[in-house]
Amino acid sequence: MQLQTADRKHSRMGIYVLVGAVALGACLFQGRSGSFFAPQLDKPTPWQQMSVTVASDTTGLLTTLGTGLLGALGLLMGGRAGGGKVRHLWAAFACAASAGVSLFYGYVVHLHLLWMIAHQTLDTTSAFFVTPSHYQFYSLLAAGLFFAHYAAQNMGEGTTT
Amino acid sequence: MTRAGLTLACAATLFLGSSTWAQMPPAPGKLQIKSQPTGAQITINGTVITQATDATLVVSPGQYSVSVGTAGGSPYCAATSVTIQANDTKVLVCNGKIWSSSG
Repeated sequence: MQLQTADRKHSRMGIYVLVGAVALGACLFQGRSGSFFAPQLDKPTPWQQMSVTVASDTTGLLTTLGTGLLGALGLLMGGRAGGGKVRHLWAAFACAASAGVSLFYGYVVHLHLLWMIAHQTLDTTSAFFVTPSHYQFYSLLAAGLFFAHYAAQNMGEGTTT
Repeated sequence: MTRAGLTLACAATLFLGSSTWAQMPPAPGKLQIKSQPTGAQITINGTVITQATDATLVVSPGQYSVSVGTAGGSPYCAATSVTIQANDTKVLVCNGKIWSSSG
């Protein structure tokens, strides 16, 4: 019993340390989006306007999906209240952390887009814009995989055991 | 790990991440690249940009390697290093094969 309590305490500490590491990692990687150089624009062309629309729509969609995933995770975990042992909690945490990182980079992408517009320039193919955009997408993908694992382990519990 | 703890951890990650670390990048500087004659290719950090000389570029603060034209062509100014700071404007002029700068 004591051993179980100690294990739980250790895993809780581990998760908090992991949260800090994820947040710190996101912070450090934010500065690695590379340098930016592009011509100053007097007036954006229709193609450039289209690229801004596509970029902001994609970021918005990924943000919506990330928020939805967090909500679904919350519902799934809430549905387990008093319903037996929760399994693979690490996957739930990894899902929440990855979705959080995805939302964070969604905001960074938004800021970079605003920065380019405010300074009358635009290059949605530069590392300055593409790098945080990739982080947003791939962390959301990871969140989806962790969520699928968590859901598969917990939703099947009632029928298999 | 309780559900409340998990929620708190996630909220803390999002809050700290978004409010403290996700900030607008520093203000850019401007780099004007001119050449005599005009219409020469501009290469920055090994990347050829779409606009030819004379061009005004918005650049984030940092050090850049700039060259104008292609080897053997005219004008051609080999790569030179330029440091741009926030709100700074630098002018580079390629006269045939020689750089001159101001700002």
